[in-house]
Amino acid sequence: MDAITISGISKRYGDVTALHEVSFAVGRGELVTLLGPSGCGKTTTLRAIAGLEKPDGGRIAIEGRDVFSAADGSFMPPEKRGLGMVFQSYAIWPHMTVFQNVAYGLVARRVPAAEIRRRVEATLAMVGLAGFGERPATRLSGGQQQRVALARSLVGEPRVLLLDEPLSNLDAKLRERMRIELKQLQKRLGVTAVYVTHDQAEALALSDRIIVMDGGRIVQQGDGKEIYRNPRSRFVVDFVGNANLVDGIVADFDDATRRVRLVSEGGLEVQGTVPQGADGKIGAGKRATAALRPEDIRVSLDARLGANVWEAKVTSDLFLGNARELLLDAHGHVLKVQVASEQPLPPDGKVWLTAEPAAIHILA
Amino acid sequence: MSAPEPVWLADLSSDRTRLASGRRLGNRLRQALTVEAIVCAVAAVLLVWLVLYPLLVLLVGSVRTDLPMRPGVLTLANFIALFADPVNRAAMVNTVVSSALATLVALVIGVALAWMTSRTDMPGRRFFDNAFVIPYYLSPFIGAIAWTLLANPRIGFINNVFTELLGFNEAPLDIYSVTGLVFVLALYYSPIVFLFVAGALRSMDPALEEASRIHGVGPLGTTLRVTLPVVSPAITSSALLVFLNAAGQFGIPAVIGIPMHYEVITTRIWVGLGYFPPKYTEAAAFAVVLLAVSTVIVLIQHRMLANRSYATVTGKGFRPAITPLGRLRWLTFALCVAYVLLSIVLPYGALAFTSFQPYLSFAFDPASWTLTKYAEVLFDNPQTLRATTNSLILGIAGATITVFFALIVSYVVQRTRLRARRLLDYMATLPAGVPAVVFAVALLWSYIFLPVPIYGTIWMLLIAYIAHYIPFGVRATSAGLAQIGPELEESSRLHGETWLGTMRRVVVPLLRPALAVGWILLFVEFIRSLSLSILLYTPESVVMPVVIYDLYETGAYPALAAFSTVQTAMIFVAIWVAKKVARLDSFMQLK
Repeated sequence: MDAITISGISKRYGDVTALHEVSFAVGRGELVTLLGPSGCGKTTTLRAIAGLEKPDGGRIAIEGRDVFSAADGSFMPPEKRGLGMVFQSYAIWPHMTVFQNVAYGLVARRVPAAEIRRRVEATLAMVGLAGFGERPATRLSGGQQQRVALARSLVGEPRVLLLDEPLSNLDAKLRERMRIELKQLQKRLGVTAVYVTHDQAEALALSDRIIVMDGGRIVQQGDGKEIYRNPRSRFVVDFVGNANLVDGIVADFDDATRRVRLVSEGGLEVQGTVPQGADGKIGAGKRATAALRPEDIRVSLDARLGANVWEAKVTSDLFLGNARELLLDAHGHVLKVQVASEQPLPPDGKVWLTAEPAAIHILA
Repeated sequence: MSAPEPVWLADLSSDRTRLASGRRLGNRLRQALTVEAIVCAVAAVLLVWLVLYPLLVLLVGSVRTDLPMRPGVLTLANFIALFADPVNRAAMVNTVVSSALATLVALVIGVALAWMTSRTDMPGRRFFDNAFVIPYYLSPFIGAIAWTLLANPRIGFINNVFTELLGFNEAPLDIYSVTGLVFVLALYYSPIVFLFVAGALRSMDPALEEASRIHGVGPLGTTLRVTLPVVSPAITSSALLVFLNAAGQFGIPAVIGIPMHYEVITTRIWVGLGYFPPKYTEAAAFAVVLLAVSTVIVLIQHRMLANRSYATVTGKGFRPAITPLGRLRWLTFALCVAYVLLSIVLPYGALAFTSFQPYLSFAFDPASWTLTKYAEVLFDNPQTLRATTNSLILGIAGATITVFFALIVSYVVQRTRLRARRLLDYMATLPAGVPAVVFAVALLWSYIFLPVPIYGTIWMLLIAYIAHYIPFGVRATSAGLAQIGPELEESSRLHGETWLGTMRRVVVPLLRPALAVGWILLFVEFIRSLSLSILLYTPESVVMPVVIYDLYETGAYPALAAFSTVQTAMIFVAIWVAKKVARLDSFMQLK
C-alpha cells in the first residue's frame, strides 16, 4: 500500500486553474520532490495533502484512508491527518520557547508531561539543538529556526512529512549541509516525505523520485538520473540542469535508431537523439529543439571529422574555480560550454566543438 | 628596542604634538559644525523650550505656594489640600474606573471588528475597513454632544421613538450615566484597537496558524493558542493607548459627566481654574496626579514593547487565512452595521437633522427645514466667524510647521550618529504621555506671567498645538523614513548633492505620503482640539471646539449642530485632499 495516493485532484482559483487532474502516489519511506517554477501547482498540491487547501475534484488517501474525496464530499481537517510539516517561513511561534514550539503537537494530543519532555529532548538532540529548549523562539538564527521547525514536525512521529521549500531561506553553505542532514534523517527514520522546491539542484540531490510540474500538470516523473538524462520535453530539459537550446528544422529522422539531424536557421547542423517516451511528434520538415548540456560539449584546438563538429569563436571566458565557463559563437548561436580550468585556448579564440549525438536531446 | 631619543628631539616632538592637537581641535570643531549638527542643536533648543520648559514649570509649581518666577516657598500643601477634598478623591476614582471600563468595552469592540474584517468571509469587508476608521477622525466630543441629542432622557431622539412610537412609559436610555459615558468613550476609542489589531492580524504569517493545524490543533484551539498570543502585544498596546486617551479626555466627560455631577480629573481641573481667583497651584497638583497616572501607563507600555516586539513579525504582504462563517456571516455583518450606525450614522444624522431646524425640535417636519443656522454660524455670528478663521489658520499653519519640525527631528534621530539624538528623540516623544489638559495647565503657567505678549494671543494656541502634537508628527515621519533606505541619500551625496539638496530632492519627495498622512492627522487634531484650547483661549483667540462647547452649555442646539457639521466637513475635506495628494487607497493607510 502506498503512503499517499493522489487521484485526479483539481483546483481552481477564480479563472485560474492551479491544478489539472494531478495524480501520483508516494511509496512508504520514499522521498518525493515536487519540482517546478513558481505557479506550477507544486505548493497547492502539497497544501492539498496537508489539508490546508480543499481541491475542487479528485481524491487523496493517506495510508489507505481517504482524507479528501470530491465524490462523497469528505474532507478531513489538517489537525486530524497526523502529519508533520516544515514551512518555508518556518512558522516558529514567537510567543513560545523552543521547547514549547516542539512540544505543541504532543500537548494537543494530551501526551503525559514526562513523556513530552523525553521526546522533545530526544528530538532536539536529533536535530542538533540539545540544550536549546528554554531559549525564546525569537532568539534563534535562521538555521536554528529551521531545525526547530524540523523537530516540531518530527516529534509526533508522523507517517508523512511535508516540506515546503524548507531550505530556501538559508544561505548557500548551510543549505548544502542541511540538504545532507535532511536526507540522512529521513532515511534513518524511514518517514515518507513530500518535498516542494523550485531548486533543481536540491531536487536532484535529495529525491528518490522527482515529479516535475508545470502549469498545474505533471510533465515528467522519475529518479534524478532519469529526469536529467532522459528529459521528455523542452520544458524539463531547460528547467532541470543547464542546457543550450538550438531551434531548427528536422532534416532527417530515423525512427528505428531515434537519431535526428536538425539544421538551425543559422546553418548549425546538429545530430542528436529523441529520448525514450518524449512528448510530441518528431518528423522530417517539422520544427524541433536540440538541447546540449554544457558538460557534454568538448572543445578542441584542431579540426575533427564526423557528426557534430562545429567551428566556434570564444566570446567570453569565465573562471569559476573548479572549472571554466566559456560562451562561444557557433553559426550565430551562443553556446555555453563547461571546460576544465586548465583548458588551453588559442589567442584568436577560434576552436572546434564536438558532441556525441547520443548526448544531445532532440525535443519537439 | 629603539634607542632613547635625545632630549632636544623629545622637546621638538612634544611641540609638534601641541601644534597637531591644536589643529585637531580646529578640525574637530569644523567637523562638528556640519549642517546636520547645527540643525540638531536648533531642534534641541526648540524642544527644550516647547516641551521641557512648561513641564518643569508645572512640576515645580505643584510643590510651591505660588507659580515659579513669583515669590513663594516650597510646600506640599497643594497635594494635601487636593487629597483632603472628597470631591477630588472621587474624581480620581472616577477617572480610573470610567477609563478602565471604556478600555474594556473598546477592546471587545475593536478586536471583534478587526477579526471580522481581517479574517472572515463577512460581506462588505472593504467597506467596513474604511468605515471603522472614520470615528477615529471624528471629534469624540462632538460625538458625545450628538449622543446627548439621541439619548437625553427627556428629549432624546431614540427615547422619543420608544416613548411615542413604541408606547414605553419611561425613556429607556439615559446618556447622563456612567454607562452612557463609558459607551461613548468606548465607541470613539475602539477604532484605535481596531487599527492596531487589524494591522497585526494582517501582517501575521498565516503559516503560524497552519503549522498549528497541521500539528493537531483545531480552529478554535489555534485561535486561542496561536492567533491571540501572537497579536496580544498589539491588543495590550492599544488597550494602554485607549486608557491613556480616555483618562486624559476632557470633552466627553465634560459633556456627559458634568451635568450628572460625575467628575473626572480633567473636568475637575477645568472647573477649578474657572473660579476666581483661579486655584492655579491646586490645578497644577491635580495635573501632576494625572501625569503620574499617564506616566505609569507609558512605562508599562515601554516595558512590554521591550520584552515582546513580535507584534509585526515581518512586513511581508501575507494573504491571511479566511475563516468561512457560513450563515453567521450575516450576524457579523449586522454587528458591523450596528457599529457604523451607533458611531457615525445616528449621531451625525441627529446633528444634521437638528442643524436644519430653526429651534430644537424632534418632530419630522421637512417643511420647516432651513439653512438659517448655517448662515448664522458661517456669516453672521462674529464669534463663530472668528473661531472658524482661527481654527483654519491654526490647523493649516500648525500642521505644516509641526510636520516639518517632526521630519527634522526624526531625520536626526534615525539618520545621524550625533550623540544628542537620543535626547532629541526622548523630548519629542515625551508629550505623547502627557494628557492635553495637563499640558495646557503647564503652558498656562509658563506663559501667563512671562513678560512676552504670547499668552492671550493666537500664538499661545499655536505653541500649544505644536508642542503637544510633535509626537504625532514624529511617528508619521519616522515610519516613512524607516521605509526608505539610507543608500538613496548616500547615493545622492555621492553624486554631488549637498545635505540640504538631498533633503529637498530625495527625502521630501519620497516621504510625500508620510508627510501628507502626518499633516492630516495633525490638522484633524488641531481643528477638533478642545482640551488644549479651552484652558488657553481668550475671546481674541477663540477656536471652533470651544465655541461648540459654549453653544452646548447654553443649549443652542441648532446652531451647535450646524457649527459641528461645518467642523466635521472641514475634517473630511482635509482627509480627502491629503488622500489625493498622497495617493492612498484606503483610510487604513492613514493611521
